[in-house]
Amino acid sequence: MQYGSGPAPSIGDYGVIGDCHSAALISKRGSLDWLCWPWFDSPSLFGAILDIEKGGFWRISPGGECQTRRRYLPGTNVLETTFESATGTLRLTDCMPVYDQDYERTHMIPDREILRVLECTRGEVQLDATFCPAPKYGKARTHWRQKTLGIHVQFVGGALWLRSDLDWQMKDDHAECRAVLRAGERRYCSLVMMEHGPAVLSPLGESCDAALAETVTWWKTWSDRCEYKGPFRYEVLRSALTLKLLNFAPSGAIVAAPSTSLPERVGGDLNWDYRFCWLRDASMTVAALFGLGYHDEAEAFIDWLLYSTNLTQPRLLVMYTVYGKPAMRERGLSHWSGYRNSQPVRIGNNARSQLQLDVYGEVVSAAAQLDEYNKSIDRSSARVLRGIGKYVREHWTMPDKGIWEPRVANQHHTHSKLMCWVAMNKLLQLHDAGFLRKLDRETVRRIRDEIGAAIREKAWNEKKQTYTAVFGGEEVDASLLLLAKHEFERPSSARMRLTYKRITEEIAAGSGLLYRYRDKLSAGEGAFGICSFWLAEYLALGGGSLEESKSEFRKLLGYSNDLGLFSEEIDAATGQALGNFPQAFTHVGLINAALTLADRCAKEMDQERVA
Amino acid sequence: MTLQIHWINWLFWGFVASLALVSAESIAQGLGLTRLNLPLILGAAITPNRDRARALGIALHVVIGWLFSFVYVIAMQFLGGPTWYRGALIGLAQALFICVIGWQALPGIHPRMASETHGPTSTRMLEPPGFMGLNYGISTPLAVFATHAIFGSILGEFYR
Repeated sequence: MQYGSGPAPSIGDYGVIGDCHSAALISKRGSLDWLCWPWFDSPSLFGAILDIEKGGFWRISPGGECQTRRRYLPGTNVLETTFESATGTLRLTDCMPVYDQDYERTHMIPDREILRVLECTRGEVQLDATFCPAPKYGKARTHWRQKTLGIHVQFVGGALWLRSDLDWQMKDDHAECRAVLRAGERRYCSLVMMEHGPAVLSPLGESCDAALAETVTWWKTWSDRCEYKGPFRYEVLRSALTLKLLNFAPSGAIVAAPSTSLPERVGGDLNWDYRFCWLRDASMTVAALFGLGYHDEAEAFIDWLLYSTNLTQPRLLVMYTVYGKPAMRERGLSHWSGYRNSQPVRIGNNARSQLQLDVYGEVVSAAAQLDEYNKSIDRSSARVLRGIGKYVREHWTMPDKGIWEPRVANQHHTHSKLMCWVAMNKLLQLHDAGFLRKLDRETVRRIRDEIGAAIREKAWNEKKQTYTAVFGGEEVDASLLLLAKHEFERPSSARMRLTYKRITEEIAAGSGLLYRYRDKLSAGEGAFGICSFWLAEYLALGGGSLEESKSEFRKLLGYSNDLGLFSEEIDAATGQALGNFPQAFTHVGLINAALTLADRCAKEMDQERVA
Repeated sequence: MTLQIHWINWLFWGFVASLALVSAESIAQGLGLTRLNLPLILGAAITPNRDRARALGIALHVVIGWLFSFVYVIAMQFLGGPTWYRGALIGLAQALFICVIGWQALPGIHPRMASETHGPTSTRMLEPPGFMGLNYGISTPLAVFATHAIFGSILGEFYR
């Protein structure tokens, strides 16, 4: 089935909808090109973003030339795309319905559903729609039937029902709809999937309107809980909504991104599966959620961190599935061409077995925020934290892969040592707050000081007057900015200022953007989203003035797409999004930088008032 | 011919067979052979909440299976006494009835099941099984026959 003319859309051309179990990417052309059901890391049903011929898609748009504009309905993850053609205007509203618990208790609702509501608001529009699912990464044999209830697509492991009040015509392996909508006409498409058990089918019409209204209310209610009152509130709320969308509600886990193998350099091989939960994002994610007032989500995520990793404790893996299992072993989908021929397309992630010592500091630091927000830590959590402390004590001197997961030999990464220091420091903080009474305080303090001394001695390059990415190294990386965030160095200390200067000289990409590092492995790679926000945050922490920080932050906001979404990386030359999309880590960076900015604003206002 | 029921044996092996039936259906579902989920269908007749429906439905299915085992016991007596193959035969006969007649009739009596002819409504949204239960997967009839044969075999072999 032909996808359409021209190459695959740009990564930034996509919008995302989701229901806190799974997410779909929909292009500006109204084409749903990526969806994994029933969970984030399930095999794909639609994958045209990775292979426009074999991936599968579901497009609804007017035929012929038209202008497109998009937005999310305010305070929601309900996507509205408006197509303006010469003859009329079509408004397409896409969502994955979500309901509050009372509604779920009293109504029968599908496990997973995509609702697409079309409305012609002006003139008349010739509709050109194609429904072409390709289950199991395009490898499943499908059995199609057109019945009075709708189009039924059966495959091993599940079935889809497409119900619509449009006239869909079934072909061999897809369905098409060519219809004319006139001003005021409203049509519905509902796609449901069931893996186990009978599906719940939507009656369309009023029922779809009710589902849409419930979904809007659910997201708005969630948005209203955001306590952030600082600058750039709209962008911060959009980031919070994106983070919530990537939150897997049954376990509290948050996936790094809903996609796999969107390339970090187009045509290259830096294509990874991000549909897992990375522990290295933990403390920053928890800080973002607590900082915005989303305490339930923050606590659920910490619970997931402490209990879902049970199987491997005290050793922590780099990433887990949403249910806390080790991520799948990596394999390639050789039958797919990849996003704009960026091969290979990978599912699973072999970085899962890397040794990354920073994750221990991330988990302890995340849990320590429970104390900062006056929450309690139960006995079993305390035992887990003590176990992590013991592991760090015994392993911190080992070389590891570090935060950037390069597939090269282990090294002594400064950031990893920093996070080992953070782990020890936060354990001491928890002990002093009365949570970890059985902790051997003196030993932990001694180890913390030893790690601190090692960083000060071995990560500082006297000749280059900077901290370096690895002990005894010459190069800097963006994670060095976190020395100030984690209170290892004061932001205004001489060493931190010199390191900041070196970072802006060596790895800046211009216009506020920052590469994560520069070496032969990273050639052609984009600037890293979160690193750029770390820079703005460092300035807000005290490394620069409030105005400098705001200015950097504002520049970065310009790199989101029209919906306020960020990918992992940004092409410094073109400003195009690169890598998996949308990326939780980048949005976490945005939120934390904004929270720090808001703190700085508040402090300066207080100072002015006192003066 | 006098009908002799060994009540304790029936209660015990009827219960075991019913548990085996529910487990076998669940395994068939887990293996992706069918999307037939009788506990959900039964429970959904009582509550629209799917989680609660599943839990209630399991209990209901076990109890119904238990009661049905009494019919099997009587039928086996009439056929010459309980043996595993007579039990299996009765199971296959019941499965045939379910597939050919039961599934077709179900949307008419289930308060939350949509009908093939009228489509779903705001209260009747559950996917109907269709002829032979094929809406739930092309292996559904096979799964129904196999699980009911297992149910009958257990009763036939162990009920004395």
